[in-house]
Amino acid sequence: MVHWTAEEKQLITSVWGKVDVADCGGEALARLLIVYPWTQRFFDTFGNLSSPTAIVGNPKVRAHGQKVLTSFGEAIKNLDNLKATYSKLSELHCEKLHVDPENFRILGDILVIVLATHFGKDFTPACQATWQKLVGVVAHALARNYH
Amino acid sequence: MVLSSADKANVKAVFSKIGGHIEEYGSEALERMFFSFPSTKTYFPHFDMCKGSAQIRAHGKKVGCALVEASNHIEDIPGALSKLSDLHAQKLRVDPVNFKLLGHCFLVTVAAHNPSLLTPEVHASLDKFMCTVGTVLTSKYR
Repeated sequence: MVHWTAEEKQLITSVWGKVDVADCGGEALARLLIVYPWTQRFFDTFGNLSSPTAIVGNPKVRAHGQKVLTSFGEAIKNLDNLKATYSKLSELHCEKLHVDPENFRILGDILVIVLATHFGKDFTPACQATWQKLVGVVAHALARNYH
Repeated sequence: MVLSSADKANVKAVFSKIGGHIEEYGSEALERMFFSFPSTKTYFPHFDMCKGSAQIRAHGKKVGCALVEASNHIEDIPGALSKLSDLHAQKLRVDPVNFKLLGHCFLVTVAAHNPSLLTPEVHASLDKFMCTVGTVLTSKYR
């Protein structure tokens, strides 16, 4: 089980409290599709992904980004039990969605960059380190039930 | 992976904006990397890891200046970084995985200081540039 110090929990909740989930989620997913275009392979049904402008303006990208980040919020509410929280989602991503877990890691890193653009100098090295740990454990929990 | 002319223009534009702070950004990227990815400290057992240490600042300056050099010679990064490639292959032998970590932390540093500069397109170009630099620096490993 992952151990979180009081300081880490504080760094997570204080940042999360100021995050606009729709905005950040949409932006993170858009950047994933733009910076690592091969990730578009999972989104054939999303319509126009032909350019960064199209991707950023695509309502399906925004909606799905919001969905993904909302799920992150669940992780933050259940920091002491991520395994159970993500058990079904892990199975889904393996059995139905067939997503290489490497994608969870790169999306996590993109989220960290989006947070840095939103919080600037407040996103201190200590803050980043806590969020790197969080995105890492979320990625691990999502990959846990792969077979 | 190839840097398009748009990528090169984006990268040059970034470094012309941040060039004056490159020592500060290089140091901050290192500091962020050491904090977030403690295994990277294993290459610097002799360093004072306190925030703002003279060693981190000096090394951050070296790293930052190398990135500026690469961006100034973006048409021939292998040529511009050839001596550094030799150094990393023969002497330093930093595991290739670590260049991704430093590249990521450099992006976070740029993002934190210049959010409006790091549009998705510029983010993509800078990420490709950092990957290219990492690839060049490890290109003579074997």
